[in-house]
Amino acid sequence: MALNFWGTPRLRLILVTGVSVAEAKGKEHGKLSREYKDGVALCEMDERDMKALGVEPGQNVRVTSKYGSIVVKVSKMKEPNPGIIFIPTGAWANQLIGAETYCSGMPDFKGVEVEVEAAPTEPVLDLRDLLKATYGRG
Amino acid sequence: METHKDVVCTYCGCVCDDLEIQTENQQIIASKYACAIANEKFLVCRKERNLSPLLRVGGDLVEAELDDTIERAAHILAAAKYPLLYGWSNTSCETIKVGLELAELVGGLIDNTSSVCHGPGIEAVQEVGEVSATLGQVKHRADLIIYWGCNPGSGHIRHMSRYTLAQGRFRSGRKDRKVVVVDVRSTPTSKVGDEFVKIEPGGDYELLTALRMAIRDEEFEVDKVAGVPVSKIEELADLMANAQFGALFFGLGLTMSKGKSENVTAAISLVDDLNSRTKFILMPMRGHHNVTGANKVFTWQTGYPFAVDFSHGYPRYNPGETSVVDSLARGEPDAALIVASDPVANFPKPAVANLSKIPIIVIDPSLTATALLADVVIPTAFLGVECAGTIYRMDGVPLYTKKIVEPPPNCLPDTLILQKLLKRVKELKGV
Ligand code: SF4
Repeated sequence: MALNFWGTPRLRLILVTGVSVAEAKGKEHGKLSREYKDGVALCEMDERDMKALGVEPGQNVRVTSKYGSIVVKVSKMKEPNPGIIFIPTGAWANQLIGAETYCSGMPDFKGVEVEVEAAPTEPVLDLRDLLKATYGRG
Repeated sequence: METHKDVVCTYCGCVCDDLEIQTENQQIIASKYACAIANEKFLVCRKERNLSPLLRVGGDLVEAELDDTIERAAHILAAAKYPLLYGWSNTSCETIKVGLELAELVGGLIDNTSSVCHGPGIEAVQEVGEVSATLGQVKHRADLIIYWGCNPGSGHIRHMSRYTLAQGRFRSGRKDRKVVVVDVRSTPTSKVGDEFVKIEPGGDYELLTALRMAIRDEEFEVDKVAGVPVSKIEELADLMANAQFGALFFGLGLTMSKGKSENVTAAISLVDDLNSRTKFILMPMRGHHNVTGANKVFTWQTGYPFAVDFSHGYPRYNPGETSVVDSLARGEPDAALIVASDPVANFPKPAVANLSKIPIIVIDPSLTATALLADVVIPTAFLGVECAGTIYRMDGVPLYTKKIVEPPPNCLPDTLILQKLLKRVKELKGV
């Protein structure tokens, strides 16, 4: 396992994005609602990977791909899937996705190589703040 | 209190048409037969929404008159050289038809959400065709159900109970069917299956090809393919070849991973091979309630199912070039009309970065992430709740949605808004 410059663990994992019930329900409360943020700005992770990173459910992690980086909350995956993290479709997950479509029209939303590390001092941004920070508008 | 029966759900591509919704004083108070997501939709969606048309003045979005927002939107579209008209999968076929006329008029690029969803599957079907069926046929006849790269347990909650595991005319429910789930990760769906085949991420094409080999009794020179032991592959191939009526449902696990349309081509070819032995069909698990309808209406009107470019004065289709993410990533569109969709939340960052630099018009019942970046925001009525219209179920069966309650005063059906906008753009262009 690699270490970051603080000397804390940094795991190489595969990111899968997609819909979830919490994301779908949260959407109905509105994209600015707490329900939506709670359902989407999170990273589901296998218990063993959480242990390796030294994080507990509810703590924050920074996920980084070659396209970008984002802080989200950890939640324990219900089913065992070591090596794979799941971030529901949304503005947070898409910070990590590139626009290359290999002439198909479709970017790689699944199977993206990422690095994950604990981010105890970094906040999970609200949608408005995330949009402002990334696109300068919102 | 009033009970509305046989209400059509406008959430996912299952388009369940058996819901019961109770209303009192124009408020929805209870639902029956709706899944957890649909229940949330019917009970909550009207509560937390933006009720006022908005215009960007200075840096802020401020409340405005509906006519003024339409006027500004019309000017933006009429002045644009290459506007993008995107969304269309969460609205009615009637609205999509108006949108296509508008796209032709302004010489823009019109694309629907299948571009970032099942687009690659459609490209595969265009290459090699498909064997399909209605969900009714699956319910009555299928004895083998395969869910590949999809998770109906979370995304299409009633798909199993209504269509694949329900009691049918020739199948007496769950015990009469085998369910196989193929995925890179275990999910709520994989727990329901009789078999769960866990494959390595990006291994779909290989496994589909290996299954084709096994069905033809060809020899393997390896022990494992995509992380799946050959013995398991042979077992699965036997199960498939010996089914009386098999149905392979595939999701974005195939279309969004490496290989994309080629994965679906391999799945279609597998089903094709199986049809020389037995009866087998395949079907994409379409997400939005009318994404199938968007493909249908686009095809009737232009000849192409999505990613249609009108800049030459006639429709052109070339996914990878005329598809929304590619065009945005190249920074081509100079204005955007977004209808019933939220690309700012759903597109990769580089595409959104360019979208955020151009004038955006949002026509949507909810305040979306895209609306937060927009110059014009026009709230609309919720389809299937506050206005009626035609939508297509994932198997291509059209259903007419109902109006259950009155929309708020400023929230017209988007068909009407689009018609007003089209009329005004025509005037501005002198057509
Ligand atoms: S499964 Fe889909 S269509 Fe059926 S009730 Fe649930 S959300 Fe609506």
